[in-house]
Amino acid sequence: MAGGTAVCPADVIVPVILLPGIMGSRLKSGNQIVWDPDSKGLMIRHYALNAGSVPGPDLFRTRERSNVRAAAAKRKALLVGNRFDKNFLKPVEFAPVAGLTAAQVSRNWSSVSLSSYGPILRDMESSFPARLTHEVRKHNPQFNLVRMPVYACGYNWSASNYDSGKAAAAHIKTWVAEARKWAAANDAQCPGAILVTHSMGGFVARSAALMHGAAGDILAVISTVMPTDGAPAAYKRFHFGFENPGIGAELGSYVVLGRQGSLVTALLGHMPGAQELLPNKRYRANDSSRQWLHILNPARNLVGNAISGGAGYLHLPKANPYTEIYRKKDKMYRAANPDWLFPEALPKGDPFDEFLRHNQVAEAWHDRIYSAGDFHELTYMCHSADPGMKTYDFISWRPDMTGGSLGRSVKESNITIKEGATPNYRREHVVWGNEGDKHIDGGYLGLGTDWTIAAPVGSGDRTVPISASTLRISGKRRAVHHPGYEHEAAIRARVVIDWVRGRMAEVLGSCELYQ
Amino acid sequence: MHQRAAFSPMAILGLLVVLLSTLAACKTEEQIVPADLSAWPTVHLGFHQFRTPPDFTAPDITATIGSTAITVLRNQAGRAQDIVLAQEDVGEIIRHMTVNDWEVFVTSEDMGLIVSSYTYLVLGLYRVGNDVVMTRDSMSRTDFPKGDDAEKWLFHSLTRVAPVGPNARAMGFVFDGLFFETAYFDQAGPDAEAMFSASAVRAEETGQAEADAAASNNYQLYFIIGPADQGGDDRPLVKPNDIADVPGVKVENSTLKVDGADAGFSRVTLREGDDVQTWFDATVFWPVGSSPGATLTSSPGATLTSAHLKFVNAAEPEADAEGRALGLLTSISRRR
Repeated sequence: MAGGTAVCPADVIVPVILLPGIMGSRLKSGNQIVWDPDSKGLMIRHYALNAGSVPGPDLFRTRERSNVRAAAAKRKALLVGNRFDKNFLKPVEFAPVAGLTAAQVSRNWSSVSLSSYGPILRDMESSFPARLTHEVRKHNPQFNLVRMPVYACGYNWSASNYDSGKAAAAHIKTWVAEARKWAAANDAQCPGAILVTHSMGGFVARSAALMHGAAGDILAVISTVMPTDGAPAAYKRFHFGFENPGIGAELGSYVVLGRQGSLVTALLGHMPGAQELLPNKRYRANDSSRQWLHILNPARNLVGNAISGGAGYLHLPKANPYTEIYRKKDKMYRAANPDWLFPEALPKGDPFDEFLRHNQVAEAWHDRIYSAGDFHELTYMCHSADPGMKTYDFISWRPDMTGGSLGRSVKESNITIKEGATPNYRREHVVWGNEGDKHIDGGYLGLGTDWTIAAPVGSGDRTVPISASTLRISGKRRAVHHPGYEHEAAIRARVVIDWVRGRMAEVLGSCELYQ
Repeated sequence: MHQRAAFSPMAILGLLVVLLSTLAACKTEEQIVPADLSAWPTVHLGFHQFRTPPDFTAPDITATIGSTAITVLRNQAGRAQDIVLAQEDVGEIIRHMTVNDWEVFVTSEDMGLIVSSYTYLVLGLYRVGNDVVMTRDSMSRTDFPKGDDAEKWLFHSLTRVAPVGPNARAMGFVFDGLFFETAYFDQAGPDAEAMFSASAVRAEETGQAEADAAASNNYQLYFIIGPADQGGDDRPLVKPNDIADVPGVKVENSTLKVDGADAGFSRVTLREGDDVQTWFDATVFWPVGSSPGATLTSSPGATLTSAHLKFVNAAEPEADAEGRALGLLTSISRRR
């Protein structure tokens, strides 16, 4: 991109590259495909049938722990192996898939889940060029979009976005070089690629641009629902798994993703990429407060309020969530339960070290990307600001303890896990239960302290709160939509696809961005 | 202590749908005809052997002893130290020693973005002709800042490696054409956990085995050795059911003997509209109470050895695929 004299171009070729969100890329381990959201059979074989679920109410929780542990071990064997290695999983690239043309395969479309990203890929390929041409000609009558090859760039989402960005940068440079070569041979101009990202794909784009030297090959980054500074939902899932959608079609996806903390931690506890979705040092809740984790005191009745007031016990972080929250191994609010990290067998030594190893990478990635400039200089963002889509923008741990309503308060001993003790996490019944049933059980007879995470109340897309859109991007380059959309489905929402096209027209119509 | 959700009519209806859609039936062994294995190559892996379909790729294999992963590097002429330093994630060498002809290195871990403050890498190298066996493990940098956790080279101190030959009948396991003669499993007793795995895909004539074929023509086989589960409060009140939550799935179970051990064989059918997918799951449990070395020598230890097979071969007619899955299963045996 050049900042030289504005010369409106005539013939233009611009590669468009889609970067999917976490879990949106098809992955293989060795010669086996191990993650493919488009293959229902594969996802059922590997994940729905490795979910540790048993039918019946809790009375019949038959070999619950063994079932869940075995399920977590099999999932970990598929997606992590014994110990995380960034080369263990690789994206499936340039592989023929039914329904794709040879040209689409050559543009790597099969590297991403087509059930999620097929609609926008096809829209960008088929309907965008004519509409973009029409819109840009309002500003530049000479404009002629002669080619707009649409690529997909799957990546190993288990690895740090540092590594995913490195791989993406290599693709971006190759594809832009091809476009520039074609432009040179055809008296056209290629101003660089436009990256369209979904969720974590925005992290990959930032990494490619600012850490791996691809900025000069990128004209603009158009990010949808990027959790810029993380999302508290990621933290919550370490404890209680994904959110129960209630009875419906999404129940299957819920079982596949992992309905309890042990299934999630066995994977995410080893994945630096996933840990980079945890709230970072710059995260703010929707009310702009730095403290997003609250350890509350029990709900009081009038007497209790008169005795002890309604103040919470602890509000974190003061400055650094990594050291104050996630790595506090002896606190119930830590991110990873060490008992869940190696379901196949506890390693010799402290399993928590393995979590620390990746959590340190996550912290470093956010610090480095921020100091490297944070965003590509021409970045657009959109988010859902739907108040009806309840989203965790903060986390409230609520205790249930004897005498709490009468004024008994939380003490340090209530949040401290004794050496060798294992908190008793309980999940909901998959059919009869609901998200609110998930809790840490303090013990029988009401003598211990139960802990639950309060239901979300913030605006957002059910995963990323609206606060993610309010930071560090000027108003004209960000959009908030309400009514909004679900996080995963955002990239298929008509309002988002239209917004993406509008931003592309805006960029392509800015003559000063061309050399 | 926690409030429970009430049963709703919708919830009960949902449960009925789930239950009705899961049909379990028993088949007798006579209904399944194993494939003819005479042309199937034999694979030796760990303490076991099995036969692999000839139209599948040579299996990818892995071995993990405790938390130590093993790989074999072919045609490595260089010095051990150079091989170690060529590893992408190796940083500074903290410690280097020779243990029972293994060269053991403790190094810092370069994670690309940072050098880990929490972990060291532990690599052991053993030369066998032109090849080098390499083990990888990690060590807590917090607990052992000097890199001196001797537990990390216990395996090396008890293991020697040679090409598979007559000595392979002694105590030990086979991996990637090499024989690991080891007393580790006896010395570590029931704590000596290990996993060996093999996976292969059907090699398609089109050369596109990785694409659609990989999702529907493949097998994975795990041999797992670990302490026998003592149960604890994990209450076995009724028979566990691991698939009842999935609508549209039909399962037919049968039991049989494999290598003298109890085995379960399941034919799983997923029906979604006109699309029907079938695959085969099997598990073998050898008797509790013997260490894996007991296949070759007698030794005590409350270990449990099991094999887990998932076989999908949609390129074959269902009955043939079932015969091939059963053939692979029944070919599994402890090495003798």
